[in-house]
Parts: sequence; structure tokens; C-alpha cells
Amino acid sequence: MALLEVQDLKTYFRTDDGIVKAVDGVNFSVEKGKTLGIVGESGCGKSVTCLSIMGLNPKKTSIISGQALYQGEDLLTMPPGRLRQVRGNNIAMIFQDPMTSLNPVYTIGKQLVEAVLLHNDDVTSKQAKARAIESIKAVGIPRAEQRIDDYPHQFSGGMRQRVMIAMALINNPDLLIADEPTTALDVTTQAQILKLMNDLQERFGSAIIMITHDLGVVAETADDVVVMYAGKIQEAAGVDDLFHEPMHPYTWGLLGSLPKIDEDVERLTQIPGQPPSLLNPPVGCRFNPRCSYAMDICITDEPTLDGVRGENAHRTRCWLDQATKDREAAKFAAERMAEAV
Amino acid sequence: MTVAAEATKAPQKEYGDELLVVDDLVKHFPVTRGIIFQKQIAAVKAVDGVSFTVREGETLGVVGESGCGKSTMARCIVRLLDPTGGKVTFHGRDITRLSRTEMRPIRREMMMVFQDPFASLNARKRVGFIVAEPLEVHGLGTAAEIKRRVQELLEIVGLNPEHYNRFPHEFSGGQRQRIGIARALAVNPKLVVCDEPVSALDVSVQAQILNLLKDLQRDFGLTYVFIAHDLNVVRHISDRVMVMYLGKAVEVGEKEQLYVEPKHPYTGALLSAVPIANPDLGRVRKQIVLEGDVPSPINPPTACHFHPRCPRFVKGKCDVDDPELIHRGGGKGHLAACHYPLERWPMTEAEIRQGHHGAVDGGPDGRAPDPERATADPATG
Repeated sequence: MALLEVQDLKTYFRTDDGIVKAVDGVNFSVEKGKTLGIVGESGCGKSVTCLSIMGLNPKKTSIISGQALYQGEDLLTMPPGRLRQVRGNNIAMIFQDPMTSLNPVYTIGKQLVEAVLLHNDDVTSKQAKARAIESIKAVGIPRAEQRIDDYPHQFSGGMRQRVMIAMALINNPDLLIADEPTTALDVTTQAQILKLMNDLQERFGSAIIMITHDLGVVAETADDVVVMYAGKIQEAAGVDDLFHEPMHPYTWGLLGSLPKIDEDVERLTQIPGQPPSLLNPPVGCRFNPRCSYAMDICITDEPTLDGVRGENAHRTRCWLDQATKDREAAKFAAERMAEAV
Repeated sequence: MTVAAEATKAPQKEYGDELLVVDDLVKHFPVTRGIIFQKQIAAVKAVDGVSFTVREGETLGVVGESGCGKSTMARCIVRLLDPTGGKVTFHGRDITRLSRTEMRPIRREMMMVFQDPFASLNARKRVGFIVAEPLEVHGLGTAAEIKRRVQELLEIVGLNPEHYNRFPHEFSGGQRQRIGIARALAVNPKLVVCDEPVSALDVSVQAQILNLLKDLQRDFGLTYVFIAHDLNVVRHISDRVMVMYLGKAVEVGEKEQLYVEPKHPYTGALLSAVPIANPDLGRVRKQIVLEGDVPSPINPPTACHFHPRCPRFVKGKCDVDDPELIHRGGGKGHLAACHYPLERWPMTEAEIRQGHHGAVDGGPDGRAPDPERATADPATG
């Protein structure tokens, strides 16, 4: 059984202008000890998916349906008391912006100790403090005993993100949801944080959902990848398959629009147009207005997320015939080969 | 390197004369204490002696991490900030100390595109007004001529000219950045300083804007100073690249030289830290993971600013003797400020490991036990 199994998750928001279908039927599963990457541009619903799983969307305005089974228990229908136990204990989350997600008026020690005491009735505050110190040592913050009494503003961005990770990992969760954990950081700091997350995953065997817009980060951290566009999964595959044999025009566009550090092209392949409004998403395939392969059927009927050549490990939502997909995918395979030389 | 090899390294594109010469540019921001009798107690050395030249028609890319002074430098070049020291020569004329009125005709020649397309457009003005404003300020044409020019500009940057009367909030991020570019181009500038023009945009839209900037350069013979923290983006758009660290230029070179054969260890670390969108390469790649954070520019490390984090740090040399930005091997015009430049790229496993033992003895944040290096910590510095 997968650790987390999300089935037909839909998150709609009621707004003054109508209903925003932020997430519209998403299926994926996360295995123990593995990393699932969710990629997509802003507004594609990747963050909302995870907030829905964690029950963190505003109750009043959101309509959530579907299932999110954590070890067989549905997180979406769980009573609030039980959800509080699971959250922060079995499932933890790292947010994008370490500057705003720590409480500025408490020391980091107090915030870490709180996370321990909340989930462990039998721990004394002294033991909790010891665990807090141990956890910030584990994320590579030096002089942990002294720094634990510092306030968030006394840490740099990278260090604050380490504190966030320490806080998320303090109860040894089985599943860690990281929402753009390195987007606010510089590349050298990003490299540090990604390495740290990787080391900790090896040590504690947690599963990770890595939400990012950066295909490079996905390539380096994920085992499986889900590509989202306009609230729907467009392609889901193992990381090697996705980069060697991408099967969806949107994935082709994303990979093509990336300036590469090790090669020179005069012009980047661009995806024309803008991501659609989710108030009023395009009829048929949601990518059709920006897709250079769009056919008549794409404008009228929405494709389903089907296995490529009948294999469920690699699924894509596209009407194109397999021969065309293979031909396009071969270009990327060749590109990867060329890069490897 | 042989003469023939050096010749192939030379740029294929022909450039014109020197358009912008920046000589030892310094910008310090005072740190004051006291309310009435403000006393300067320190200075943030945002830009601390940067020199470079930009020739007509070329793109100089500037990369560096946040806080390295790249944006401050850009603002000093176009005189949005007054430099503390040094000299900026534009078209052979020293503009460092010109008054506002003397600056005005020159501002037509140098325009700026800003990072945040949400904050850099006045939300209360219509797009037509925003793009027309530089034309009106400089008194270029009658109202009808200006309107025609604005519509033409909107078309050039790929917007619908009929959107003349819309407000900025009606546009997406990429479209707003196009408006910002149209505004910069309105007065036919020679030099456009782009300060992180694509960092706020999604990849697919980022590619659109990068292509647009390249097309405009070709069509109008523009010269760019292109600032970004994304090394891939800078490589794509630039002819030459300058790497900055803590207010100083640590390496300058043709982009081929700099990306293929970096000389400065910091450039090497930056290049090796960029995640590669290819799982095969990512797994075998040898990464130089820099320890610690960028030190505070209020109290930068002595001599070479990079020495507390450098994998090639040699005690008694790097922390005493400030290296000059000079030619240190490699192609012509490739300069690096380092006493021990990299001999090969990528570095071997042994070199990286040796570095980590040699330099970082003070714990994972690069904090050494000796007090001199402890000041490098931003939390205490």
C-alpha cells in the first residue's frame, strides 16, 4: 500500500466572480521513502493540492472532494482532532518563504519545543528542549545550544529554511511536503538545502512531496514526477522517463523553454500565450489554446490521463497519436544523450 | 594556449566602440546611530570598486547572489543613485557628477527595465500613459505623434495596441514586463539596463521575454547590461559575463570562457550549484557545496572577500593580500580576482575534497574558531 494515495482530489474556491477550479481531479500516490516531484507554473494548483491534503485551505470558501488516503485513513474526512495528531507528527510541511512562516516574536527554540510537546504527552519540557537542540544540529546549524534562544530575524534565509526543516522533521514524520523549499534562496544555498534534505531522507526514510517550478530541482531530487497544468495532471512518470521520453506537448514546452547552462541556442522554444484563468478554463484539453499540436478534438473533448503504451507507470493526458509523441520524445532522448557526452 | 586556439575564442560578433566605461565604482550606504545627532558608525559596502566596459551592441551579463551589489551597481550606472566614488563614463562623457538638468538629455540614452512588473508600473495610470510618459518628459512629438508611437511600441513588444486604455492590473506578469520594456524603448535608448527582468516570471513566459529582448537587440542595435541571479538565463542572453561577490567583480570574461573554463572558485561553485534538468547528469555531477552564508557587506572579510568560504583558501595569502582582477590564464579578456585560479574544470573529486579539509575547519557554516572569521557571520556582524 502506498503511504499516501490521492484519488480524484478536487478543490474549488468560491469567489465573487464564480467558482475557481484550482485543482480538478488529481490522482497520485507516494511510496514510502520515495520523492514525488510536482512541477508546474504559478497557478497550476500544485500548492493548493498539498494544502488540501493538509487541510489548510480556508474552510469557508473552499469546496473539497475526493480522497487523500494516508495509510488507508482519509485525511479529507478525518475529524479535526485526529487531523491535528497526524499533522506535524506523521505528515509535516515546509513552506516556501522561511521569512514569513516562522513566528517572529518567539525564539526558534520555543517554536521547536512547541512542536514536540504538542504531539508527545510523555515528554517533559527539558527532554523536548534536548530534542530541539538535536534537531537543529541535524540540519547543520552550528552552536545549537546557543542559537536555540535566538529569534528568527537573527538567522539568514538559508539558516531559517534549515530551522523550518528541523521543525518539520522533529517528530520524524513519514511524509514531508515541501512547497518550493528553495525558491526564495540563492543557488549556492539551494544546493546546501537540497543536499540536506537528501541526507535526511536517507537517514530517516521519510517520503517527500517536492513542489517546485524548477525542472532542475525535480531532476535532481525526485523519483517520480507529476506535471500539472491548469489544475490537472498532464503527465506523470518516473523521473528518467519524464526527461528522456516526455509525452505531453506542455512538458515539451517546459523543457524547451529552459535556457541550458551547457549548450547554446539562439532562440528558446517558447510556449505562446499565458496560463488560462481557472474561473473559466478552456473547453476540451486545457492546454489547447497554447498547444502547437492542437487538433479539432482537442478543442471539443478533454483527453483522459492514460498510460503510455498501456503502461501505468507513465501516464499522459493528450489526444496526439503515439507515433507523433514518440517522434517528439526521441528529440529529447537525443538531447539528453548529447548532454551526457 | 596556442595563438590559433585564442583566435577561435574571440567573439564572433563585431562590436562598436566603448559605450559605457565604469571605473572603480563605489557605493557605500551609511549606517547611522542616534535620532537628532546622527552619527555614521559604519557603512554597507554595497559596491566596492567595480570596473568594466560595455561596447556598443553587446550584452554584459552580471550574476551574483542576493546582496552582492548587482542592483545597486545598476542604479549607480543610470544615476538613480549617486555613487560614493569612482567614475561612470557614457559615450565618452563623465556622468558621475552631472546635475539633474545636465543628466536629463542623457537619460534618454540609458533606460532601465525593473525586476518586479507588479511594483514598477503605476497602478493608477493607463498603459498608454505609462508608455507615453518618457516621450512627454523629453518633449518628443505632439500628442497625436506620441499616441501613434505608443501603439507602435506596444505592437513591437507583442501586445495588442488596442490595449492602450487598460490598466496594469488587467495584464499578467509577462505582459506587464512587456509594458516595462515598451516604456524603456520609447525614447530609443542606446543602453538598456535590465535588473532581473525575468526572475518574477514562469519559465514558459520567461522564454518569451528572453526571446523578445534578443529580437529587440537585433532590430534596434541595443546594448544591454543584464542583471540576473540565474546563471542559465545569463548564459543564454549575454556575450560577456561578470560575476560579482560582496560588492566586487571576481571574474569577467566572454561567456564561453567563463562557463566552460571558469577561473575563480566562486564562479565554479555557482556553476556547480545550478540544478541540471537532466537526471543522468545530476547524479554524476560533482558539486562544490559552499559552506555557510554570504558575509555581511558591513564588515566584509579581509583581502579576498570570498576566502572564508573558498575551497582553495590558503592561509597567509588570501586573507592578507587582496587579489587584483587580472588575466589569470585562459582566453584573452578573461579576468579573475584570485591568487589560486582553477586549473581545470570541472574540478576533480580530490580537489574539491582537499578544499573542504583545507578551508572549512570551523563547522558547517564556515564559521572558524578565530575571531577574524567570526565577524563574517551576518547574524553577529
